[in-house]
Amino acid sequence: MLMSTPKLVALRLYNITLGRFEVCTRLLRKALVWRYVKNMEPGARYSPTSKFFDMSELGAGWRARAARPGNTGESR
Amino acid sequence: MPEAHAFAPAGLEALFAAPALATLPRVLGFMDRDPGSPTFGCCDRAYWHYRLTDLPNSRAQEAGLLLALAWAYPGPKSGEDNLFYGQDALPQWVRGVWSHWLASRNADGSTREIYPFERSFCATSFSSAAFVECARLLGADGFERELRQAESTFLWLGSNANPDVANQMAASLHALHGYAALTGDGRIRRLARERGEALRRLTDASGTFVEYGGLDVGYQTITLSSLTSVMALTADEAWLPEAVAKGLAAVEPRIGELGHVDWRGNSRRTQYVYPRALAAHQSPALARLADGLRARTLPTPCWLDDRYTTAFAVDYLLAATELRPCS
Repeated sequence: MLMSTPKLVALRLYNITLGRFEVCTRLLRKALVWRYVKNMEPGARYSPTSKFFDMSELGAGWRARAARPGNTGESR
Repeated sequence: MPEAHAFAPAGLEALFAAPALATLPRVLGFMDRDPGSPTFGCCDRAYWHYRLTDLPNSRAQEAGLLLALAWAYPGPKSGEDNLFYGQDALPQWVRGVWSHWLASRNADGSTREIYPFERSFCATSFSSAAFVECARLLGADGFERELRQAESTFLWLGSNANPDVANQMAASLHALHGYAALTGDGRIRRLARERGEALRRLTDASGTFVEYGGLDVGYQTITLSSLTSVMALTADEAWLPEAVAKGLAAVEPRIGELGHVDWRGNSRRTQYVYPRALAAHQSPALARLADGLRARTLPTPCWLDDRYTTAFAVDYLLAATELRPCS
């Protein structure tokens, strides 16, 4: 679920009012972990360290090109 | 040794291509590359992946131009050292980038950078210029629908301006002339000519393109890069060759050994130099930037944060393209 302006405003209002109290901050954290980490399909599991570029996304052609001497640090 | 600083494109092309190509996998990581995703093509990772912001920055979509340039650029060793050259996946991703850009504009065609309902002249100018360059690189025939859809953006761009900052005006000039060249739209061509006149008024006798009242070397090189693109698009702006030559003459003495600039003397405190216009016009200052690259002391696209790295990488790749022996 993407961030929207109303959600962002609501979150910030919570942060600067109830969020001043530690128990409310802890509750918010628990709710966010439940909603965005634990309660997700395994295939869609949120991870900030995912979805970076992978060379395999270019298909097969890049391997041959990458293996050429000038591109592997070997002497030519 | 003056000879070492003479204009010698042979080794320079690889020197400027390398930081841009090294930045490409990072920029691809900014992009939602899943065609099944509702945010496919969005290049603002803070929005579509981390969900930290409530709207995407349209300037992030300039990544589309970096991908298109990398797809079209064979590399200094003609296809051997650019793993992205001619790869089929890239044009599909580029189309996704611009579909997302078109869908996320305001109703009047303007685009947003930071907050809801912002009508950012800066973001609209630069992202539109990248859009028309992509259409040119991949072929305007395949972009007909997108060009038609984008018309309102170019009409908005022609009716709005920010005369405080020449670099944004130059980018809008590039976008307007690019759109007019691709579509033959007479209204946009007229708006482009008016924009050219407005930009001309932002230059002074010393060759400065004014940025908030003064010269800023970094932003002036951004302006000169956009104007170099305009010169390749149209002969309408007859004043440009002389203004660009004077503009280069104004910044060259400010680019010191190893390509460094004293940012305290810049009206906007910019630390970096965009190399493309220096390469295209064979400026002697390019050799000093090259010295800085060899010494690994010059700020390159890899040094910049997520917000600025893409546009800087685009300019490095354009510089490499300008330095190709056949170009």
